[in-house]
Amino acid sequence: MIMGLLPHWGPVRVNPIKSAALNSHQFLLRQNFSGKPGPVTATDLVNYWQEVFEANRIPEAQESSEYIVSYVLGAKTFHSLSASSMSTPLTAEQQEQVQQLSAKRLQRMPVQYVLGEWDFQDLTLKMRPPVFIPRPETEDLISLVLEEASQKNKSCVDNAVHQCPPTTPLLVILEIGCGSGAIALSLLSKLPQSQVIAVDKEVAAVNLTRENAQRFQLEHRLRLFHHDVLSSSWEQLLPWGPVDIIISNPPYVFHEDMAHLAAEILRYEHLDALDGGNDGMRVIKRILELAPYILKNYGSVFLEVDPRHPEMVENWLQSRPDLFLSLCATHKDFCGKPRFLHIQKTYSR
Amino acid sequence: MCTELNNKDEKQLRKLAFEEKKVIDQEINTLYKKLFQILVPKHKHDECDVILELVSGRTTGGDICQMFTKEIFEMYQNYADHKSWTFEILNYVPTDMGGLHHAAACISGDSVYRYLKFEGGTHRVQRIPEIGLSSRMQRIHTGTASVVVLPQSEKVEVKVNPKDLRIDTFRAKGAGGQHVNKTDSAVRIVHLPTGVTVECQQERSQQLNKEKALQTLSAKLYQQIIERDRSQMQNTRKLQLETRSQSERIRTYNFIQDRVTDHRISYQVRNIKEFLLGEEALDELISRLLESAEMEALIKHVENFKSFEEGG
Repeated sequence: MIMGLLPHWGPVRVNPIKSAALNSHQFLLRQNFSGKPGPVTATDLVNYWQEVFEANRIPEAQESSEYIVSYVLGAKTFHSLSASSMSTPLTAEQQEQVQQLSAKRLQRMPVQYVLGEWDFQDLTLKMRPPVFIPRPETEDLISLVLEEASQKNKSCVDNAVHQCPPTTPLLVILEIGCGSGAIALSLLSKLPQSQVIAVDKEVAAVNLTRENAQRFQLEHRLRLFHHDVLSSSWEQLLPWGPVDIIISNPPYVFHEDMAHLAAEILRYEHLDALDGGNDGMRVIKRILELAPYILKNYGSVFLEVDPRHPEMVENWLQSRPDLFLSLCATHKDFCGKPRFLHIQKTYSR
Repeated sequence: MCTELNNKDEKQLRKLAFEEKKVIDQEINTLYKKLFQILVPKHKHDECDVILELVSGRTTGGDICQMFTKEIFEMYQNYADHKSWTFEILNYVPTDMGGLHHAAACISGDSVYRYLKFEGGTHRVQRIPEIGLSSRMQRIHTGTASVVVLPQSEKVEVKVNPKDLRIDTFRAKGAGGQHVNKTDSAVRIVHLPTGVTVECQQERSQQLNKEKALQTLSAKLYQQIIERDRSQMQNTRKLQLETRSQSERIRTYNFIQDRVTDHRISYQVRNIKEFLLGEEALDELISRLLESAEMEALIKHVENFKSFEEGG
């Protein structure tokens, strides 16, 4: 029944790129909606906004529409809505809220910013522009660190059998470029015996990580501050002495690729969180230069990188024997692309 | 008994003896029941959690199957609640009309498989569709929903080699990582050696979707192992109830006569609405099914034992 109204919205179907023109279309939409007869269900509304998004060439039209409607109904995904809440009519307020959120999506705002939250593993984190939105690949980076931590723990316990009292060792982790806090908070929640130092060069990111940490009451094991690894002194990164693990999802997009990114990214996300310079390695190199000073002996660096980087990083490390670092493993992401680097400090200075 | 104990002195003794006999009889009865429970061959997976899968049937009646599938799904959801089990939806694909196309849920708690193992099979519905005012003129429609109950055991680990898996996500094409910001977190996993396919799109986190899909996959592979075991067992003793349970039409929900009939034990219940609440009425039927299956299994067990005795 809603579909029947679509043909009247000729203007919506034309090229939507000019945002000034969009506003008048939205006004049209609203008028038509309030005049619509009969109750509106979640399914109706999802179909309706999907068509509007498609007509306006918004990417992921169906997914966007489903996420927005589900969010307003208190669910995370459309598939997790129960059949009854799918067929129950939405109130006028709920429809209004869907309309307001969809208006943002029509401006190519990423869905995560539109909803103001997104999930990283089992944590629902606040999301706010322009702080970098965690990508699903990074969830696997956490799993790699957890594996490393459990092995470390095991070898410590083995030693303890032969030597001194078995105390679980405290793991100190440094995260460079924490963004919304996804990596730091996920590690803190999964490793109760860990402490994390998290830094970001953007105050907005530091603030968002703090809010998210408070959300999960993880702030007491988190040392969080504003710090730019490219310009500030590394001594500040050692409030607890040398660390066991450095982890980072540094900006790694090659500068020449930046122009080809989607409008969602270019218009809303902080581009410094993505742009890794000409070879995408500007921050990667800096982290590796600092690593020998910051890491304990045999400590590890875990990095998420571009698939072209593993080879480049390996070559670069060979040209820098003074860093005493070696690439111990390259791990693939779920699409089979070489995405994660495990680098170890090999020698004590 | 005790006719010779007629003297006055002996009367008291007789009374005592009768009292004692009464107590002993009761004890024998309790021991019989215990013996029965011990003798009944326990199903290997009775204690297991369960993956419940529902798939709507396909008839020309259109959405009648899908509406029915939705009702059955909700009945089990309520039953899990009634039993204080945990009911976690793994997958739920609705239809435009508000029905249910197919769904899967993980049910965990105390002896879930014991109670749900006889729910697997084809459930049939007979009703006059509610849509349309002149329902009196409409003919009776028949639809079906298939229910599959898979025991999920933690004890037997199904080893899935990551190399045997093809994991499909929207991200497969393109640069991925920081280059892309998309929200479609749906995951589909194909187990290449068997062709078993599972999907999950319940979560916004892709990793959680993947974990849930893998959980469903290992339950499905586990089921295949069980079925292989079972077909081997069938050569020695035929567990007819079991083989029947997953395939044949087991129960009819006749809305016109407001009656549910379980064809395996010819048991009938009135008041479909109450039955679909998934509370006492369903529980009662499930108990009857269990009793009858246990009795049947015991008889077979004893027969096997007898033939073993005779043979040896």
